[in-house]
Amino acid sequence: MSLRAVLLMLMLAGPAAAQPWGQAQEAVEQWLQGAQAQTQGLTVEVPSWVEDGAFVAVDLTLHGAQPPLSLSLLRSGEEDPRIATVQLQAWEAPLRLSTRVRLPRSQQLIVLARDGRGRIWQAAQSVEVLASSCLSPSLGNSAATLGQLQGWLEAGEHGLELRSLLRHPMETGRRPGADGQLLARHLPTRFEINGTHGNLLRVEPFEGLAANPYWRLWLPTGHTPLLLRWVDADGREFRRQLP
Amino acid sequence: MQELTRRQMLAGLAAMPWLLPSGLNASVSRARVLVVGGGFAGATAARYLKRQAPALEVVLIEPKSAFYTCPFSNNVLAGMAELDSLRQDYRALQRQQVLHVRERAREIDLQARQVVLQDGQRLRYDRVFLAPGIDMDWQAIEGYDRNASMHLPHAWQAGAQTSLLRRQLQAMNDGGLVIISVPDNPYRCPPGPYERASLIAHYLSQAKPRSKLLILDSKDSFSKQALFQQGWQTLYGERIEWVGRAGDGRVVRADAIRRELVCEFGQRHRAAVINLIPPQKAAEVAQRSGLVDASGWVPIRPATFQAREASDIYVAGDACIAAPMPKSAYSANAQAKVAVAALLADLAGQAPPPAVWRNTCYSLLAPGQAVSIAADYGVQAQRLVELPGSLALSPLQAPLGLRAQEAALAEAWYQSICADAWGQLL
Repeated sequence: MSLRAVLLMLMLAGPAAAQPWGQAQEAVEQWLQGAQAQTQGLTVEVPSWVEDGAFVAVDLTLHGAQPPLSLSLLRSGEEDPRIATVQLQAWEAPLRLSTRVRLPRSQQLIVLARDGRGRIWQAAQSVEVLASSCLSPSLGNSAATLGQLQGWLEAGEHGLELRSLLRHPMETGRRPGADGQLLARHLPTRFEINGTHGNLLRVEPFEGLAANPYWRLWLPTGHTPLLLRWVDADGREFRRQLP
Repeated sequence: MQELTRRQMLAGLAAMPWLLPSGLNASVSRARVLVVGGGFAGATAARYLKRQAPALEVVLIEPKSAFYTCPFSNNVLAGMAELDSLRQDYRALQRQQVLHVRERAREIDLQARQVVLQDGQRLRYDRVFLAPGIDMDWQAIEGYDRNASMHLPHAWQAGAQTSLLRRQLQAMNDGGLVIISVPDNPYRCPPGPYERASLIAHYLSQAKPRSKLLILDSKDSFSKQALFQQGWQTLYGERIEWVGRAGDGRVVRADAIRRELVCEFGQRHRAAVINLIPPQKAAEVAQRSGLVDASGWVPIRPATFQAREASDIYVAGDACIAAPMPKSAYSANAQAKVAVAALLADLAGQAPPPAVWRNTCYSLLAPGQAVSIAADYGVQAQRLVELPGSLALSPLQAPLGLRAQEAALAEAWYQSICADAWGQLL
C-alpha cells in the first residue's frame, strides 16, 4: 500500500476514531479522565430498533461493583447528550437497573460506571429509530395529574424489586405545542430513594430521560420503608412511601 | 355516491406502485413460488404473481378454507355487521390457477430450498413469499395463554375470537364493566384498539346504557389520540376511560377464571368482559425458519422486501419490520405488490423497479363517523422512510359531514382492498 493511500485512510478514519461517541465525546472524556474503562461485567440491553424513540427501554446489569457507584447515561446524537446521572449506595448484586430514554434519531446509547474502588466500566449499544406514522406525540400532563408517583415494591428471590414512575412531561423546551410555539422547558431536578439507613439512590435527570420517568431496580432487604422523592424545577416535591 | 367512491378507490388501488418487469424470460415461467399465508399480503401476492406471470407456478400454503379480516371486525363486535361479512375465500384465486394447499407451513428449510409442512411434506421452491401474519406472545403476560384467551378473548385474529367476544358483550349485564388491554408498540393495527373501544361504547350506549369501558394501555400515548379522545367525549361522554402507562395501565398478570387483571404498579381490575390484546410477534413459521431478530419480527431489505437473512424469501405484511409503515391491511397489500414486482424482476434477472408505498388507516368513531391517517413511503439511503409532507390526518375540528364522508370512504376502501386481494367481484 502506498504512503499516499495510508495517509488517505488515516484522514478518513481519523475523525471517526478520535470522536467515536459523537456529541457525547466530551462528556465521555470528562468521565474517563484518561482512565481505561473495562467492558467485562457491564451489559446494556436495549432494542436494536424501535418505532418510538420517545420511550426506549434500557436494562443495565453490572457484576462485581462495590458501592458507592456512579453511573452516567449518555446518547451520541443530540446537542445535549445527557440522559441521567445516578448515584447508588446499595443494591442487590448484581446491579440491575432499568429506565426509559429518549432517542429522537438513530444513535448510540452509552453507559459509564465508576464504583467505590475506582474501577470504571463502559458499554454502548446502537439503537435504530425507525419511527412510525401512527405514533402520536404525548399530549402532555394536566396540572391535576402532574407529579402522580406510581410505586411498587415486591419481595422476590433476588431482593426487593422496586418499580416507580412519575407522571411528568420532561419538556426540553425544544418541542412545539399545538399552537406551534415551543413548550416551556420543564425538567425535574432530582429523584431520591431513601431507606431506613439513609440514601440508596440519587438521580439527576436531563433531557434524554423519557417523559413519565421510570426506574426499576433490585434492592437488598432491610432498608424498608422506602421514601421516594422527586423534586421539580420549581422546588415542588412529589413523595411516596413504600410499603 | 358510494358506488362512485368505490370506483375511485379501485382506480386508486390499481395505481399503486406496480411495474411489471418487461420481457419475462423462460426462467420465470418455469419457476415455483410458494406463498405462505392467505391474509391480505399473501392473497394479494398470489393474485398478482399469477396475473402478471400466468405461466408461473404459484402455490398458496394456507390451512384455512377462508380468512376473516381484522379490518371491520370491530363492526361485528358492535353488532353492526355479521361475522360472515368478514369472510374471504380462495375460490377466485383457485380459478386463477393458484394451487391452494390446505396445510400449515411449519418452517422453511433454507439450505434445501423447501418449505416443510405440518404433516412433514416438503415442497420445493424457487422463491417464497412469506406472509404469515402474527402470533400472540403467550409468554408476555403472566397467566395469559391460549387457554386463558378462551375466557379473556384477544379477538386480534378475526373469526372464532371475534364471535366469542361478541357473545360475551351480549351476555353481560347492563352495568357491567368492559376492559380492553392494549400492548406496547409494535403490534397489528395501531389505532385498532381505540376504534374497538369506540364501537363497543356505541353498542353499550344502545344495549347496556349503564355499562362503561376502561382501556388499560401499556403506552403513554396512542395513534390518533386527540381525534379519538375528542370523539369519545362528544359521542360517549364519560363512558370510555383511558388509562395510560403513567396511570398504571400496563397489564402484567391475568387471572382468566376471576376475570381479573393486575397492572405494573399493583392496581387490580375485575370486569364482566375483558378483551386482552397481548404483545405480538411474527408467526411461528418465521421464528422456526430463523428469519426473525431479537424483537420477534422479520428484518427486510426495504427496496424489495426480501428477508435480510435470505434473499429467496420475500416477506410482507404484519410479520415484517417495515416501520415507519404501520402494520395494517393497507400496508400489507401495498407491500405485497412491490415485493411481487421485485420477485418477478429477480426471477427475470432484472433490477427491481423503484417503488413508493401508501398507507391509510381509517377508524370508525361511531356508525357513519370515521377519522383517518395516511402517508406515503419510499426508500432513502436503504431505509424505508415516510416521505416529507405526505402525512395527512383528519382535522380535529371538522363538520359531521366530513366524518360521514370518511366513513363512506372506509367502507369503500374495505370492499376494494378485499376485492384486490382475494379477487372477488364487488
